[in-house]
Amino acid sequence: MISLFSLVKLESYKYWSKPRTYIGFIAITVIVVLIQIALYADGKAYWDFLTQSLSQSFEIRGLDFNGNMVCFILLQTLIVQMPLMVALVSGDVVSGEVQTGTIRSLLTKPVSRTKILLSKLIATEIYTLLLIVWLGILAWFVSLMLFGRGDVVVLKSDQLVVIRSADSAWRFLSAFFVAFLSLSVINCFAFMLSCFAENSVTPIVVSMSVVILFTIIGTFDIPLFDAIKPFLFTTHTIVWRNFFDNPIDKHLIWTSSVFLLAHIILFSGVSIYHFNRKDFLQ
Amino acid sequence: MAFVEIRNLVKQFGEFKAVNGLDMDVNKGEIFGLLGLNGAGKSTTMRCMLTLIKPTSGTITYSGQSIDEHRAAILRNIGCFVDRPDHYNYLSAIANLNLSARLYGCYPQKKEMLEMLELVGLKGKENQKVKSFSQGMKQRLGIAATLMHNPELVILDEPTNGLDPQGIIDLRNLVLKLKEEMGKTVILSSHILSEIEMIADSMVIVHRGKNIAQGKVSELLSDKEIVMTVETDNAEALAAWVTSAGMGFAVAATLPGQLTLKAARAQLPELHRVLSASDIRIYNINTRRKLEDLFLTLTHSDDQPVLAR
Repeated sequence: MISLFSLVKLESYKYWSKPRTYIGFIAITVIVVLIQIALYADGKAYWDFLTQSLSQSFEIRGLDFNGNMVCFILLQTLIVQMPLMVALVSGDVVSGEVQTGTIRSLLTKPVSRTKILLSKLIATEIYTLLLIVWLGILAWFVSLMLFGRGDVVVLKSDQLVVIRSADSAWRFLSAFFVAFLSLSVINCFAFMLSCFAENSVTPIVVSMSVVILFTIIGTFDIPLFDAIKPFLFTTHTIVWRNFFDNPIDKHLIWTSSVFLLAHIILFSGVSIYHFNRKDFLQ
Repeated sequence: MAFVEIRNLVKQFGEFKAVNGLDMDVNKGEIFGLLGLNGAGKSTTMRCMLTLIKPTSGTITYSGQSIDEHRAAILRNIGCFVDRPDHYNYLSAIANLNLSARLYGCYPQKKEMLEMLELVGLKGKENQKVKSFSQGMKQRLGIAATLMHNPELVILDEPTNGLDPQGIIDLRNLVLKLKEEMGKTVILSSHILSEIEMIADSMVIVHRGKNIAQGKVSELLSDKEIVMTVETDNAEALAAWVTSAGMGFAVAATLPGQLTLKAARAQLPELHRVLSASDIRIYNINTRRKLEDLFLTLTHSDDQPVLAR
């Protein structure tokens, strides 16, 4: 009997043989490198622009543009796009095999459906993790090398938070971890849709649309939306930002993390339940 | 006990019964043909046999073991493709073979895989991506993948689909080789009736989800009615002559220059005697009892389209 570990290896092999898998990595690389080049060339002007309103009332000293701040800016920019990159790949994992017919070949092998599905899910999780790691390497390490260390200045609508350089590393690591959790929810959601669909376009488009719709609902301060916001997973996928508050709202982070985890379990459970009962007629 | 036994298999989609109480027995070491019109329930039956579809009711057993209870153990001994062999187009032929074998828990050496590719006529194509393969080549690779783990039973759904005439001949020879040299049991469905007739030992005719005839191909083809076509100058006169003989020979059709008669096998010597006794010129007599005739006789009804000849 083939082990789950061997199945994950086989799935990963298929996964990394597809050109589509590399789109996310290429996109991140291009975006990060472009922003880094731009900030390297003209970072001072960008910093002046960001602190324009503050400098009218205060004199800002000792807060130089640095690698930690570049990383924070990149995270804010890219975390919005990354769910789309994840959905692009996860939405195709099962439905793509149904569309091409290879699922028939797979399901006539002496391996349980649950194992097959879990191996695919784990392979997509590995992809998501590597995407976050790649973002971390490019956005954090490369920025530190290019711009040097320094304090992180977080500009909010009603306050300015300064995180000391020595206090920033664990916050970044935690933020990356929670961002991984958030992307895993998107991954499991697109994966679940992929189990229901007969073609790969539908789950990709639907998962992207849901993320965009939920995000839009989350940005409007309308009482009706306020009531449903806590139940939208997109409300909790931005909780990584709370690691750059002072003091950190640990309760909020824990609550959101548990909420995200519950969604991962829910979406995975529905996927397995449906996949095990599905008739493959195509 | 048959190697594969299907009893009272039913698969219902809403109100529609795709398979409706099908029984089927396949013996070890034989080539078994599954024959039926499009939509008769052949593919659904095969999908049920391979657990791609869950039957509504009925049992499927392999060597007495139920597929529901011993799925993994049974599937380990089956090599198959359903509808058409599907491969990962972005991988090479050898990578596809390797992937398929590993899912059966086999770790074949490169040499073994190359030998298998040679067996199906894909020598030298091992590193070529499958997306560049023709349908015939994909079909051959599909056969190779079904055999890579050395299964006891090979199930092929419409294996000649998309093959050119030479490909069909090659496949026929390969299937015969599987049985005769490798001792495998083969179950296949085909829309080309002559394929079943030429290579199958036993067969079942499926119609509207039911088994309407099953047995050895030779037995099914030898009973009851023989069709005789006679080439003559005057078909009408010959038809009148045969009828006037009063032996109960049935005139099936009279065309200019051709008379078609039907008779039981035992009546053939007498029919030949009656024909030779006539003064009408006869150029050729052709007797046939082909699978197509049997198939059409059994499945034809007014509300059912007949398979195109």
